[in-house]
Amino acid sequence: MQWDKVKNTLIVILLAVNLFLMGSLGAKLWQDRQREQMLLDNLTRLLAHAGLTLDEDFALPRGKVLPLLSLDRSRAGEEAVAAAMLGEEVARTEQEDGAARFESRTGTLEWRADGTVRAACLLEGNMPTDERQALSRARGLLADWGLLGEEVTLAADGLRVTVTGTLAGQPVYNRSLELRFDRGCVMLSGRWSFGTPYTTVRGDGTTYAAADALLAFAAAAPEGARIRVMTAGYRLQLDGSRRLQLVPTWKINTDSGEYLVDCAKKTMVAQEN
Amino acid sequence: MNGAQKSAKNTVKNVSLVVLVLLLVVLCAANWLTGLNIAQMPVDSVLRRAYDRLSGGAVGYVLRSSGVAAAEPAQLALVVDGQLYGVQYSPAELDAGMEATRALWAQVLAGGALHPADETALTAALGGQNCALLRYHGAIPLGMLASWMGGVWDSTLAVETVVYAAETETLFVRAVDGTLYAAQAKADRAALETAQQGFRGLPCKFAGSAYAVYPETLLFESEALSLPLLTAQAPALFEPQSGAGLETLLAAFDYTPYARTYPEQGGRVKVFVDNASTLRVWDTGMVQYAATGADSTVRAYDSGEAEGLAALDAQLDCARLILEGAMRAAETGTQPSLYAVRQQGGGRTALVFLQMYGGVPVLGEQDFATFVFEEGALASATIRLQCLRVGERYRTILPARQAAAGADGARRGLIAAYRQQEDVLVPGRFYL
Repeated sequence: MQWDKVKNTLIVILLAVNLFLMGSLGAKLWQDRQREQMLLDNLTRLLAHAGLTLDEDFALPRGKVLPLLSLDRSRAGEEAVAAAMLGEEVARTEQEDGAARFESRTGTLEWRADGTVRAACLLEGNMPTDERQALSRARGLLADWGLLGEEVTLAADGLRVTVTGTLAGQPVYNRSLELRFDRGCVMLSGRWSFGTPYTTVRGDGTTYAAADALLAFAAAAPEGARIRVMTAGYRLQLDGSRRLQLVPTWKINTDSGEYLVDCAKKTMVAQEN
Repeated sequence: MNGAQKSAKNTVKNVSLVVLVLLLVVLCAANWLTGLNIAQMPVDSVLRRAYDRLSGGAVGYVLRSSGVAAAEPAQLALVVDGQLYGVQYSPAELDAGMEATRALWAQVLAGGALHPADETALTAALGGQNCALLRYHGAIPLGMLASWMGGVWDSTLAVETVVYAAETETLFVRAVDGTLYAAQAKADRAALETAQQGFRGLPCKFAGSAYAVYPETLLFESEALSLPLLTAQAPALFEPQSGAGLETLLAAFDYTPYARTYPEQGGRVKVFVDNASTLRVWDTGMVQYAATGADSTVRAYDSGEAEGLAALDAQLDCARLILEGAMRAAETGTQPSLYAVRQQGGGRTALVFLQMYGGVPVLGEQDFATFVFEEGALASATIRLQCLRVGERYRTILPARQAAAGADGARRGLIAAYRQQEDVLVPGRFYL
């Protein structure tokens, strides 16, 4: 009988504590929601002053925590791609600005320190004639050259194939390659990197607020633009120590194009399209 | 109430208790998690990794606690097919050379008993068919050098040059004061051959005993090192359009843009203050950080967390990141490179950095950057930021062969560096 009473008392206490915790959690979530709504309303007003509007379907993303990541330039990786693309008889020359140029009978390839690549070589076998063939041929070539990783996506537009990929699970907005098939040749251009990104124990990351990026965008955006969606990711950048860095960046899609906003510096860095 | 009913009621109570306790745990965890600032969590914590995975954050990157070199090599050489090839003062060529030879150095720099060596033993070893040389500007602790290459060596001896002679399986180490040491070292034949296959450089020779310079000095056959004259300018940190630069500089020292600030010297200095430190930024580019007491906003490691080489490694990493952040903020167009590590008493460590332009050190009357740590906390730091602009005039550096021929007296080293001459930084060859 005593145990029965003790159990009843415990149930009542636990119920009370749980209800209090639920209330506290609910209040926090409700306050967050209210704050987000208020932020969105204020943003809409501020953007309207700058001549910008938010799409009806626009949802303000939550702040994203992203660490600044680094990548080592892999000259071995660059040389391996050159050897696979141009054959074993490749002449390599180093430019003063850190670019490596590879040349053979079948074509040329140039890798720059910031990951920019430009190449042209003769295509063995048949030229693709439609999108489907271009896609299949591009997939085969990229696999042969060692550029077809697990997180790579290919998209064809006529005889142009665009290759994009994620790093650290995030999109990298300026890391893409374009393969173009033309008159018995294949042209490769774009920006790419090798290896796994890394950070150091001190690089803990920062919360990057979407509202900050929108306000920075409003200061430099063309008037009358309609903002559709914004996503957080990275962009490749060469730092002062010639290391490639993955810099947290917001991408803002509007009806007039796509824009990149540096999360840390809160400045618009480039217009993609 | 019969026994069966009592038993059922008792079971319901027991189940309710278990459910309520579990709910309590879940609610406590949820309340705790909603109050956490995930961004402040270190990236190596399990909770942060779990949060990133669940919230679509960055995943699949690696965490390096060390191994990121804080110094740029000045010269690298390797014997390939009986001919010595070397690279020097070219970041691109040195990067490529390091990539080719890193595995070899990792095996060679694997610890060993150092003993004083004779210059004649080094001179004899340099004539061998398989030699490799790695030289830095300044004094790098041997343990740190090994760690950057992927090896392990529990030694803080400040070294400038390491030479590996495969025939005699000996590693020669030139300390910064010129003393020569040697240790037994062995690398796989495969590692040496891989390095030789991947290494590209210009033909050169070791100076040997013919000149009054260190025997391992590289003398290139057709050396024509032509470098531009540079002018130094103060970074535009206070310009209204450089707000992001100043913010980046503050962030490097863990300050927020909302830190208390006031001007000094008629606005030529901006002073930022927090509870534990002061940061002064001059319009000339000088940056001074000082912790007010034992506490500091910047810590390389917590007390008792690291010791010996691990502590030094953490401090180097911390200083390097701050310096890179400051140089990024000022857009100096140059790179930092570790020059010296001075272990002082009372757990104080001073780290001195050089400013490098295109792989060539820029020497001034005062050190470019100095960081002083006390028990893992940054006690003070001074950085003299300057933006280097390339002039139209170039100057060809005296080839090492001629400089070696002109050397007299005791043996010494040679260096190419920029030095201030009136308003211009002029490249030249100097004896050490």
